[in-house]
Amino acid sequence: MDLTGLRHALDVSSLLRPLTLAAATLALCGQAAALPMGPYESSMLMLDSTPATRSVSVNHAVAQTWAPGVTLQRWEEPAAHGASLLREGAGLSLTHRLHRWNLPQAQANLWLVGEAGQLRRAGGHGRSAGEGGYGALAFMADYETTRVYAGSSLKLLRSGGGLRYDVARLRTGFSFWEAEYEGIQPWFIVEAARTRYGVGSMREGTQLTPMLRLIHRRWFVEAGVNRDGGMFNLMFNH
Amino acid sequence: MNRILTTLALTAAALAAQAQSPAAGDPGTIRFSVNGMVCAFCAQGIEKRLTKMPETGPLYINLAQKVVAVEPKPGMRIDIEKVKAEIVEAGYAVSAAQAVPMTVAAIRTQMRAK
Repeated sequence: MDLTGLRHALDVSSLLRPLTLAAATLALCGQAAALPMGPYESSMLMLDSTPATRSVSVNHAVAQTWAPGVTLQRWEEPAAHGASLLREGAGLSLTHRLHRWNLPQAQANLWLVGEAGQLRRAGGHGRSAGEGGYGALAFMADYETTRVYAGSSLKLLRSGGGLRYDVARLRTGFSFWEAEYEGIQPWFIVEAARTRYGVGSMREGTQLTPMLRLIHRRWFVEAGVNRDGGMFNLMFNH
Repeated sequence: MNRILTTLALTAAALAAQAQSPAAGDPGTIRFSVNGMVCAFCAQGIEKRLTKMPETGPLYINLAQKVVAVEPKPGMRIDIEKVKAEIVEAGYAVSAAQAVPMTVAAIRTQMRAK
């Protein structure tokens, strides 16, 4: 990586500083935990869809705190004149639960997810097409009671040619009522997400998305709308 | 001091429940208090492990009160330590275990009425 690349790589910290600080604050407060993996000996399927991104991941908990898996993802990076550049990746992932706090009325977790694989990049707008390896690292923290949820995550993805894709998220919300395990649990969640693309990216900013989350036993569904369109997340634990 | 006495009493009750078969008419249900069990995924992980145990009969999970109640199949009994180990293996902590002379159905009705 040349000096310019290094400067831009370091620059991500300043752009993501507000969300990173918030994520770190949550973590330091002992508030952590989203569920990127299921309980020991279970498999987790995760689907995410937004107007600009799609991903599908599957992992299997081979231990209480470890879950290897596979992930497919694609996203469109904004380019000049309203165009976009397509990125498609396929990789292996390893999810690790760093710590869990089992509290009398709450649960909190810290997670680390590593990912490595192959990335295909469409060219255009001064950027070259190609294919190459990529690596990604994500840190997640969450805190949840039966009525309140707070979570944060930071994912940093790097590939050759200065390509990067960084997403920081903060989520918080509440359940409408104290639901029975056997019933459907409805939640209202608000997500603030900030995405940073490669050098010279045409659009960056914080996206705010209100969502409805429904949980029923092994099913978890979220649907929301923001200024770009609808988003949908699904998780299934088996 | 009260906490220590309560813990001792609960432990004694748990050991007694383990050592003896349930009295006639007692379904042999054990009620566990589980720390960290706040979501359906948590409960589902615990339910999946417990229902795999051959002695597990009716099961009731109450998220709001963090309770897992397990009733044995007829002629069998619940091994408290074994169930505790399964809950811990699922990723949660058991703060108390107590034999209760009620069926799981009765516990469900009672807790829903609260």
